[in-house]
Amino acid sequence: MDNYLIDRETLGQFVDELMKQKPLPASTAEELSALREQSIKSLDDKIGMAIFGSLTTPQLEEFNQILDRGEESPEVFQNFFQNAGLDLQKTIGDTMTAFGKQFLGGQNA
Amino acid sequence: MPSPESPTFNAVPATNGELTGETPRQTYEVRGETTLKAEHEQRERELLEERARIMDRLQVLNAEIAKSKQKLGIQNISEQGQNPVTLEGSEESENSPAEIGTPVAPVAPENPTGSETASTQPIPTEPESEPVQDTTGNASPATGETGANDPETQPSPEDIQNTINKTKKNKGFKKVIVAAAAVAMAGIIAAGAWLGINAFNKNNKSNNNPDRPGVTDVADVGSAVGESHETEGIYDGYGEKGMWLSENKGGSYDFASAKEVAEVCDNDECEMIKYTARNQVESYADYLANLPEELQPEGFKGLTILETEKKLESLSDEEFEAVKQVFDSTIDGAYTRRVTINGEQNNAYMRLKDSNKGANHGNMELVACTTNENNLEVTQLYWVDKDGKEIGTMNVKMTPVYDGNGNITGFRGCNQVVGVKTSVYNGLTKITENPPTTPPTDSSETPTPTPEPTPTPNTPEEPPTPKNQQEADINSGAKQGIVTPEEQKREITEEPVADQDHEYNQDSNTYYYMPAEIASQIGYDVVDNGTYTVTVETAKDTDEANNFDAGASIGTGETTSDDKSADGSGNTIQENLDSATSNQEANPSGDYSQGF
Repeated sequence: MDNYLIDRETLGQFVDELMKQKPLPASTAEELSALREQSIKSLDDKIGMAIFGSLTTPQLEEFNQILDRGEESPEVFQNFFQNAGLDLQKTIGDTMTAFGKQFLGGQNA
Repeated sequence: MPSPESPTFNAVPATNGELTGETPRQTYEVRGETTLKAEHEQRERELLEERARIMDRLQVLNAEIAKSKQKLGIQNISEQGQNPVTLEGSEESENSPAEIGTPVAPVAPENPTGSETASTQPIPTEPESEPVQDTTGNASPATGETGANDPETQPSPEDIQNTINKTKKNKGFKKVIVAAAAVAMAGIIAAGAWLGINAFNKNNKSNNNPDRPGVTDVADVGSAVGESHETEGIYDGYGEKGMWLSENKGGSYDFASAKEVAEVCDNDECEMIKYTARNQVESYADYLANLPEELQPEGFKGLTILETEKKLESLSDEEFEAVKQVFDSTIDGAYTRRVTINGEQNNAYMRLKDSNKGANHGNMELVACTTNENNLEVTQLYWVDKDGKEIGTMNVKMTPVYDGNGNITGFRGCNQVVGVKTSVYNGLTKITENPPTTPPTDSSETPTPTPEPTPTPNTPEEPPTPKNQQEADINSGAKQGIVTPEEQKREITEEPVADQDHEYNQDSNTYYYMPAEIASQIGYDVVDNGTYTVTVETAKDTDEANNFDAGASIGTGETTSDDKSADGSGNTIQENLDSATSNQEANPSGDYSQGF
């Protein structure tokens, strides 16, 4: 089973950039690798929470019904989020920005 | 691996404003060794230095994040109760790195900066097992615009997590979300939030690079770079890398060909073409191939322009976009300065393969262009590494085309990257613009004494070239290849006054320029009735000659009192510019062959 909502490679690129910008102590390769993986997972989780946390309970139920029906057409999901008034791109972008900000240590906007 | 129970420290500002570590939650294990003390002191110094660096970076990041927010339309982050981070970390954030999956590394308790959240280092820990709250610390998402704030209608975290788990198996949904994430990430990167090369390194700001643009605050570095490019016409002209400009970027700095859409015709068939990278991929290839190798995207290092072009054309849209993002951030991360260059320079510009056919991708080609420059001032993009060491440069020559009011209406041939590399032009058709008039000089470049002059759009840096000369190039009439020493002197022959068109004779490399009367008045040696010989070197050596060139090369040719004053009077030149512009406007297809 895929453990990621978004593909790991995409998020990995983003985390790699963050790690480039963040001065890290002399760490072993293992530690850095573990940090990277953990950050990817954390970011993936946050994006999922941001997206589905934006939905109301009825909307989430409706979404689950789509999943339960086995729909795999991207258009179905695009239509769903459009109707739900959720801008996926913006939600993900906001989440990544906030994550990056916190990762790098700054929190003020 | 460091313990996840790494110590953290509370800190309060000391009376002198310095940060002090206070009341460590975990006692530092003193082993009673002198060496340990020394090590500790060393570590303390390092942490102090690190703190200084991080404080600098924080300033930059805060500014960058604010800019990114503005660009991305993000408004809610600060509205959700987050406090600005300061290194007086007593107000440790609710969303500390540990909470977002970046726990802190151990810090010695005696470290006066040990309390700084921002200066602590992230270390790996086990992935969070609990569902993570959203990035802003509450259950609502970053957007918070969907009415999910009502607790009665908001799903529980468990429900959300269950849904997330189900979606991970759904290929259709994953396609949608992965695409959205890719675009979002590209937007963040394009905004320059974290990718500005060296933008965060204060040490490079001024100490090692006196030529750097006059940035007064480190927080301004990133933006100053972009603005500098924009001011110099690079960002808007080449910020989109000479491919296309949106309507929002309209203005006198637009390239003639850089319109969002344009009607192009091929015989009787006309179509509207959006000038994307697809249509001007040659321009993009020129830039990519001329980047310092250290900065070229993976897979593009060491390629010629032609090879780069072919590779770009073979990419999928997604791959192309990814390369473009890397390139954009590289350009945006460059600093600029003005330098003068001399001698033979390599260059390139776009032209129509068949001037009788439309300006479309299939009918456009990049040609290598050799010029001989004499103290030509160009814009130099340069990059530095984290230590302030310059890692590469790229010169850009802008040769504007002016309208009658002195406004730049476009840019003509032989623009773009100048003389950085030579091998990258292999395989391109080669032409020569202004051949050398003196024995070959070295192609050295000299920084302009006055750093970073602000270019004034209405102030021509280089007079437009005669329309006929452009056309000669465009139509492959210009001489091709490298000019030999025998060709270093160019004969300029004056035709009778009746000849108004300054025709270019491609065989003799002769221009019919101006009346002998005027030539004699400004000191040229008229060797017979209506013919005189002069070297271009002479013509460029004086301001008068330069002005004369400008006037003569695009003038009406009429022997008027105004023309006679062409040895330096700006009025005459301006009138001639008017005339030249109208000539160019009369040739709309030239838009697509005059630069990018």
